[in-house]
Amino acid sequence: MAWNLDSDRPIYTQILEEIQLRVITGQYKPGTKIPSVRELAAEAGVNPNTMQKALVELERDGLVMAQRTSGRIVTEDMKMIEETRNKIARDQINDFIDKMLKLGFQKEEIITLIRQTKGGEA
Amino acid sequence: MNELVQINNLTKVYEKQKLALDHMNLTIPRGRIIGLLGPNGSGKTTLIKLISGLLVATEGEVLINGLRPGPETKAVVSYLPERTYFQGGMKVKELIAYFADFYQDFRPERAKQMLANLNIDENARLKTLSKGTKEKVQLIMVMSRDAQLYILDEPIAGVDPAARDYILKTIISNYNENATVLISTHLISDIEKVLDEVVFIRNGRVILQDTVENIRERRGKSVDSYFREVFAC
Amino acid sequence: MLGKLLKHEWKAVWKVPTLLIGILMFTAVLAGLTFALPIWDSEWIGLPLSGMMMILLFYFAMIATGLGITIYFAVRYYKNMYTDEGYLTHTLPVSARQLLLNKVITMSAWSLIGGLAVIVSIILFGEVTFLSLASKDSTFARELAEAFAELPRAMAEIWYAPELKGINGFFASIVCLVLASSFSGTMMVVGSINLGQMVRKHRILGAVGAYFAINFAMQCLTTIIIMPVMILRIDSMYAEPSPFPVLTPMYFVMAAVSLAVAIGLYFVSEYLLRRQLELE
Repeated sequence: MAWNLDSDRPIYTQILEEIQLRVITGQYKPGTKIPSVRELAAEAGVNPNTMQKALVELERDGLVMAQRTSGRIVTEDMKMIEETRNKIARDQINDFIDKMLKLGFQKEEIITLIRQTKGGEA
Repeated sequence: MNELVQINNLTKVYEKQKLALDHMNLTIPRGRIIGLLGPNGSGKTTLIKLISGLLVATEGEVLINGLRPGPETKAVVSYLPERTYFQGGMKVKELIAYFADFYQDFRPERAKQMLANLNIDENARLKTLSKGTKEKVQLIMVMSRDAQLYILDEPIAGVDPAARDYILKTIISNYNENATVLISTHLISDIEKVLDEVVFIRNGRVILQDTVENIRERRGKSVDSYFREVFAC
Repeated sequence: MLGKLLKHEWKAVWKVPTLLIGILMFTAVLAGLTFALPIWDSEWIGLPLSGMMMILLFYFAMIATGLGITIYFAVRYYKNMYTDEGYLTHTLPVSARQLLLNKVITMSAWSLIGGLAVIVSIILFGEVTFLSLASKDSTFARELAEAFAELPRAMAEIWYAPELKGINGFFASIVCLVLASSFSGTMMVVGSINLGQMVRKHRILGAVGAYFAINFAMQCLTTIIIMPVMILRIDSMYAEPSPFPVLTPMYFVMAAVSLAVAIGLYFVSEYLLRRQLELE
């Protein structure tokens, strides 16, 4: 699985987002172990210290949990995963709306546009 | 605990009054992957050779664990030069035995594993290997040590993207948390994601030392773009 | 660490000089065997000429062995210390002294082995020649056998002749000279290469220049020191029938001078490796 990291944003933030995405989409399933810091760093081609920092942050949020023996597992709290998913969705929508407002669209126009773009199924 | 490398007032003048390092001061902490960045002729290789003990300073000092370069520091520094330094007649497995004999921190099993992953025959003589394979063998030897300081001089210059990825993955997966890796390069975009910190040097002086995240966060651009801005002529 | 260096050095170098010595011994035997062939009285000039060529070949092999070993080790020293290979040599966790001692010990030992091999090859040539001649001529063979039987007694007789007075001391001086030359020959090569490094732009040329300069200096020094010894001994040169009372001190002086120069070069080399190393 490729890690597409932009060159102009902090790497740490991007790693954080990627792992969140992997949990939400079920690539890392609830209750299962995720790869070690070293493996993830090698896979992403990023600094292990940065990867470590990102995982500690995810731990603080509760999305992953450190195991006493070794490694980390994905939380089994489905509500927490759902919340994370919704939060990301809201962030994306807000970004989108901000951009559209800048282009001079009104909120209703935006919704209409979305309907038209997607073939009006909604 | 003192810093891993402390560089004080370090100056190197080559013959013909060429000033390669100009009263440089630099501290290299433990547990980091650090990029030593600068254009050609900025003094990167001179600095590396002084830390490795291949040159003698004109003025100032390099201290590694508080000691000047010598047998004790060479035992904890693993250096990958730009050149291939093998005696051609040796076999790969003889090279492993040679390293294992001299470097107490050398892990032969790790080297053998990595060689096997690349399908490099241990019974091959080094002079029969291609230039690219020789460079990989050399990287494997260097990264198979549990050193405190790895110094990699232009490890990705002139290699294809696949080899570059292999090199970066080898560095990431072999380095331990207490070790520091110092990578000199002028190809920053390929390598900046791997770095904790960067040191910019120009005309034998340090002009900036900062973390990659700080640069990206504060300047809103990659280290590569920032480097181009700083060194624009 | 010196032990490990010596072990790996020995393993890396033994083949080439051993091969050279092997070839030398082979030519010695071949040259001696020519005397067994009926070629020397041949009408056709080609046959005795090819026999002479064979002996000449042995002569060149003797020179080539000594020279070959010296050149092989000189090139190896230069490559190990000052070319790309130096990047590994000088990042091993060993001191400059250990690096230098390793090279000097190995090179001196092989220089000595090479010298002894030349002596052995001459003896071998002589023996094969005698045996070859004996195989052609039964009278000669009988005489040879008798002569060998007589040898110990004859030797003992000659040994105490007034013409050979002091021969024991003379042999001792030869041994000293051979040992000292193995070391000093090595140090001249090693010292020149190290000194040549100081001519940063022309390092090999510097080494060649240094070699001739050291050679010249050593010869001057030997002459200056030998002169007074010779003058002091000039009386005995006429008073005694034996040449050894003059030769022995001369050889001892030569050995002492080359030993002193070699030790001096050793310390200069160690200083250069420790304080002036500058790999390109």
